Amino acid sequence: MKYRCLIPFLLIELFALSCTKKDEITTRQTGFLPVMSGWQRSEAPKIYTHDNLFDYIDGNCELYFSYGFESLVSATYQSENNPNQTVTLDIYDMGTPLGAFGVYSSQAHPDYSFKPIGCEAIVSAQQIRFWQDRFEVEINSGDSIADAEKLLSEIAQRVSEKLPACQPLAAMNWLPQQQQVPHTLKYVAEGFLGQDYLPGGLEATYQINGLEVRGFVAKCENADRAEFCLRKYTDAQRGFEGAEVRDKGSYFESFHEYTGHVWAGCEGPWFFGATSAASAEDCRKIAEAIGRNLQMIKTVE
Amino acid sequence: MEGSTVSFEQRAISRRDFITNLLRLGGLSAASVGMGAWLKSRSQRPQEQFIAGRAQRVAIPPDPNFPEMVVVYGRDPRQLIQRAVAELGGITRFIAPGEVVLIKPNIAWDRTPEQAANTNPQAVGEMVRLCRSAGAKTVIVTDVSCNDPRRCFQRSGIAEEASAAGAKVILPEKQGFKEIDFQGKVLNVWPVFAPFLEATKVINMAAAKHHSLTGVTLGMKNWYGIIGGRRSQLHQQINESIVDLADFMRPALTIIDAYRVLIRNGPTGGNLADVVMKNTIIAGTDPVALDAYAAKTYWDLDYHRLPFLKLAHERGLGNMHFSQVRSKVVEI
Repeated sequence: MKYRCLIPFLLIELFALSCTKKDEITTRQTGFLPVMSGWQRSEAPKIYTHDNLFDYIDGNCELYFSYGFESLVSATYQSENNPNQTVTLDIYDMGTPLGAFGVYSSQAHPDYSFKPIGCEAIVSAQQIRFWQDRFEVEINSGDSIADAEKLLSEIAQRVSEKLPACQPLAAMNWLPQQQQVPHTLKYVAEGFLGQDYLPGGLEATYQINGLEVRGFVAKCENADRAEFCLRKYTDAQRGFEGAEVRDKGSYFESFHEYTGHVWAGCEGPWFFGATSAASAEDCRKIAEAIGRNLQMIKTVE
Repeated sequence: MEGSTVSFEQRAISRRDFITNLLRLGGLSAASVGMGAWLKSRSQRPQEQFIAGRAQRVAIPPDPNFPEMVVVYGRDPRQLIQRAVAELGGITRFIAPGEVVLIKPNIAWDRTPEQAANTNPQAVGEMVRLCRSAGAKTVIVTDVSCNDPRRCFQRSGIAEEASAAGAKVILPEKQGFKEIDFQGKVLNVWPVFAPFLEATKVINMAAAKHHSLTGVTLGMKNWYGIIGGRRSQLHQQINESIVDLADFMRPALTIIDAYRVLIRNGPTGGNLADVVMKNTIIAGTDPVALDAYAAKTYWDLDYHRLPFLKLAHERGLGNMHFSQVRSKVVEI
């Protein structure tokens, strides 16, 4: 009771500490903002953290949170010739390269145009998004800017030069590239395959005999946990009324009109497999190719 | 899984920095104590006169002569609005002379009309014109934007179109919010942008978009744009809060702009490849049916995947079985 008087001071101390953290983020991330000839920042860059990201991107913040969002610096550049022409630059610190790739890939689609800026960039007339190291960068412009795409590419290039270099991401090799449809590789951080017990995992679309097969892989803590995930996933398939499940011990195959064909198995700590709406054979082929790829990675490791 | 390889510049702290920080901390402490005392002396209960907001607005009663939902296809957003309102009984069914009308588009994002993250500006402009032609005293166009409001209102094209049509365009100001007790299932006292409380009629003009959190954002979700405060606190019960807001607002007319539809990567979008031209306006007096129709038509989603539809249906805000409401499809 006698220490109750200290509570206000503790609260103030916590407040001061949070200010210091924000100052650190400001110093660190505003250093990535480029200087652009003919453009000036219209106001001081804004910093967003877990506490206020909603104010900037509404419910979309939950997507960023799921991938490990740490902070965002947002700056607006105004043309020196025409103040109505603005470009907004957002640099998200996602905590890890996998988190940055994850949030980038979650909003990617093979129909988009891509450029080799950072690790990879999606380019359109009024927006560029790219990821590099632990950062996901989004640059938006209005339609009144002549050749906006060129301008956005220039800004993206400048930012990319200031960020830590793009390093290869080991997880991106878990799924084999042969027959993989370009730009379909995604990292799903939460609720992978709709199962909450699974860790985050990768998935990609494969084209085989003109049909699409989706390959997937998740790395568990160890081989026992991977076995556990396989058993739980087998049970989940059995849960569909009328599902045909053939349990082979180290893997299973199943079919249900809702899930299509499923093949799932384990390789060391990896839980992996494939799904296909049309062909059990193609599903098995892709799943086995993923298994062989993981065996090879395990051997090298 | 993958660890970061970044090491940022480490800053050593000098004695001067230490003393400066200590002084800053002392100043903060004193300011915080003073501010706390001042705030306590000035705090007050929510203003009772605004609690009656919902009751003041008269919902438009059903009229068996007119459809409850109309779907209009065509090339020109202005014509789509004109035709939709005409099919529903004309603007005088909804707006009486001398009324203060508030039109609530989605102006949340610093995006151009082509990016389809906001409501179509020409559709908003036409709605303003119609209200003015019905003799509305004032037509207000506003929204509580997520991105910088000035840029959202300008880049969306809505400020220009609405002003040209005779609307009073109001940017959301921090001091313009009033504390309201929603008396909802999850929404209690929350700050609402005051113009939404002062209008005699409200017209909801939502954009049809994908939404990463709720699946879609249509008419009912659009009411998130009337409130301020720490809206992220509502996320855990987002479906319930959507319905609380819809229950509170009860618009005279709901319009879902599906002229351009942001089919994925919403609500922010940005890439034109995510936008599909549907050249459609969906309008009506049953906000639940409208949402259910748009969700099914563009995303093949129903109340199983969109719990707010079922909650709103159960609360009597409309019919989630859109095929059961009187509807009409028109092609211009």
